Amino acid sequence: MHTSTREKHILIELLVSVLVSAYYFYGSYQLSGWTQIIGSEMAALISKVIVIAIVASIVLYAIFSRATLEDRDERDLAINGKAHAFAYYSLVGLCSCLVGLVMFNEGLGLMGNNIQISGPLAMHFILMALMVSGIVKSAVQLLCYRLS
Amino acid sequence: MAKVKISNIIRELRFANGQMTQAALATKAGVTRQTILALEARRYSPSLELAFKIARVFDEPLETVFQFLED
Repeated sequence: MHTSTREKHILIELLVSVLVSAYYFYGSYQLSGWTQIIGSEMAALISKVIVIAIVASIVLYAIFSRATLEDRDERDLAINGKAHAFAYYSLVGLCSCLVGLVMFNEGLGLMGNNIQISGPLAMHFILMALMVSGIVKSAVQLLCYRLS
Repeated sequence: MAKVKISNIIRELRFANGQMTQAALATKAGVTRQTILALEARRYSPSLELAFKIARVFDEPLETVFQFLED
């Protein structure tokens, strides 16, 4: 199966996104269960995530995709547009879920339950939504390049 | 894999024009080789602009190169 340079670039982007997201969310959950976003451990984790993202990108591009990208043509732009649309839908969907969750939580609070969605937890949900939408974008692009 | 409704004879025209490669046609039409590949496999409908450019490369009328398939 032939894979174009652009597909390789998107695949690498997708792999790095998944790797970095998994590392960040696992690491931050281990630190504080997503209840805090300040502290030296968190700063160290974010620094590690940035370094991992840079190193992984350099290594993967060097191994799998040394060729330079051609300029985008109309098909690339059409696929890009479709991928952005899907990423937008997923972002809206996930943010709507977060809003629903906050409202549900407030309702539970009124009934006397003491479960709280704190600021840091909400921030992590939003961050997760952003990362998922980025992953959806790359996945849709790959799918469109394979199918069209 | 859904085929688009616009058919074409790009492949035949390439071979009729001195075995022109997909890459050569792509360069002349200002697109990537993958786009030519997708067009020949009827997996992509070109814009009007690209359709005219490709027809011009072969010096053929647009309706000779591309055909709209009725249901």
